[in-house]
Amino acid sequence: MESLSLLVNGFSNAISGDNLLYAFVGSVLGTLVGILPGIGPTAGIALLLPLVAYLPPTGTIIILAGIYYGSMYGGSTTSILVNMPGEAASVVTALDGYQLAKQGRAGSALAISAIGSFVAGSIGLLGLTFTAPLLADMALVFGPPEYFGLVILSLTVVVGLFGKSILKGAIAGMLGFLFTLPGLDPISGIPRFTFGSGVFYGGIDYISAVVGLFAIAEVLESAEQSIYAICEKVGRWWPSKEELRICIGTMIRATGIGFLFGLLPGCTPAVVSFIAYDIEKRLSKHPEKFGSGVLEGVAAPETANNAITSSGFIPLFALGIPPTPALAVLLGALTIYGLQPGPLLFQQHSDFIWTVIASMYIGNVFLLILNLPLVSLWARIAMIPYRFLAPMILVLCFIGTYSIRNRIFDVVIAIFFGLLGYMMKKVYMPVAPMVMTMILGPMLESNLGQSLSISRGSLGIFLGRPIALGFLVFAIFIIVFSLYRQYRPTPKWDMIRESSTDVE
Amino acid sequence: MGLIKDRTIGIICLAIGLMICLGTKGLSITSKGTGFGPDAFPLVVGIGLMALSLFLVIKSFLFKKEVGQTTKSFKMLYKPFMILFLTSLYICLILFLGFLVSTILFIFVMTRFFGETSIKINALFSVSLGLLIEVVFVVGLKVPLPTGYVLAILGSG
Repeated sequence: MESLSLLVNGFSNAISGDNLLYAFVGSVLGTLVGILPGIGPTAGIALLLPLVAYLPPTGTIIILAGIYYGSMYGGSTTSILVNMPGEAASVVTALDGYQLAKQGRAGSALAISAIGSFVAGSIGLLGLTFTAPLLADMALVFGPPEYFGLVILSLTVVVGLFGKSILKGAIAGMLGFLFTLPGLDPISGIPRFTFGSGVFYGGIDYISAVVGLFAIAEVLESAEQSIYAICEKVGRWWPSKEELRICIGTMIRATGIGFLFGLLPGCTPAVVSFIAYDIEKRLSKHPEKFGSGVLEGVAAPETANNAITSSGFIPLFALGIPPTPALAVLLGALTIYGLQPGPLLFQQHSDFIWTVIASMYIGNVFLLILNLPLVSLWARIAMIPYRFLAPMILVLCFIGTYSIRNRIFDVVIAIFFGLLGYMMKKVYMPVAPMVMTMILGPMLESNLGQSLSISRGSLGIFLGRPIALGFLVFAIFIIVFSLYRQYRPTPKWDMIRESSTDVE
Repeated sequence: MGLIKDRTIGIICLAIGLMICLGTKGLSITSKGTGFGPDAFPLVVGIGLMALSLFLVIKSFLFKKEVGQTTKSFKMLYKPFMILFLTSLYICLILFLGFLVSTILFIFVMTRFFGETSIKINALFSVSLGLLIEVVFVVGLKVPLPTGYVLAILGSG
């Protein structure tokens, strides 16, 4: 009940003039990011973060959160109308969505997608409202050993459960740790791996790395392909009662799937959309029709990927553990303003956090309004030739990375990571583990150091703390289970692995 | 081809891991009895990277065929590397000519590179977009972007 009263208080702040505008801007930008190929939510947030940081903290986070959940709405538009998913989470939507569009039922597909997204977003936000404060209260007892165990568990889930190759994922993770080494040691403050140059004292900024890995690398890869698309007509953009009746069960199931998987690190909207689609296909009385144009094939992935965007905020806000690279960038935004996510965020910055959560409810409504009646407009935007988009994306990359610390060095870092990300795609090495370890690496090292300080160097501290021990044992279990499944796969497990993408 | 790539990555990462381990030798331990100084974490990372890389290299020799993995060719590397080169050139140009002029030139060149054949459309687009970005970010959001040495000298003259 306390959460409800705090949420009501949050709404009173969220509907104030400026915050309402920020929610609208975030929704529009999110839809644009979702629609435009070559720029997903991670790159979108990373590019715009240094720029919106000139705004008040609440406004910045409202806009960036809006980009994250808004991109899921936008991606479905191009998937259905143009067979060109704007972001990875909408890839599977195109399987049935585009077929429906070719049958003249684009409007129904878009409507079901938007309604499913709205339902999932709303239910997911309710889950966020009541679960996050509870989890934050539980995490108050966490100390350095528990956080160390939690980070280890998060990273093993990212590498073990949702990667195609555990070995390459682990190597990518180690490379991510490597990039956290230059700079000042987080415990003693001693410079290390600075190569005698002052530019490395501040370390390698992970926003620059994310811009390179997700935006620049995407441009480089797109240069190899010719993107040519035909847009189908929209027609009627509201569903019939029968169409809604068919999809309501799918929406409820997919919401549950998306919400639960969103709590797991490494499970991106792209992964969960595949899982939800596959489950719906297996439960259907006519699974052979999936892929030829069934509404459930649109409802399942789109509902699931919106549910996960809400539940992903739970570990971020309550524990300070971002489950996806996009939310990891959002974590960076919070720390810029001195707002450390975790249990104390709800206690010390209650007004801020509840205003942001309330604004997500409002943003969800904006997205429903924006995405249905204006769907033809968004489709036209999606048809902008890539030869005009690519230079714009690169210029935004420069502006975004330069404005972090006003240093050309950060731009050079972004270009380096762009090349690295491109080469990693060529050799099928996943990028997500590297991003997650770059972000969680300093947290891991500092918590390990603090734990050993407490125990005077004894590793027994992890055995003596039940919660920390539980996390570590579970991490070991995940490693063993993942290795077993890698070498003795089942069709269902193959499906989860195959659905992993490196993008978002 | 995939196995050769794996072998190459493995050897490169093995070398990187070794360099990290060697690099920790210069770091002093100030752990005050905990055994965890500034060299500890890098050493763990270096050893871990070496071990995993070695395993990847060995695996690439043991397995004859990568099942289910199609090979992506390196034939199309010309375009991506050209983009990187042009982008690097753009960064250098910004320092001399400033953001606006360099950006207009960059957009013009990149749009041509990506396939726009009409010079008029190209010019119109690059000037319009360059000015729009300048107005939104520099004037509107007050993002400090480089003005360039040339403009700085002209301004002081």
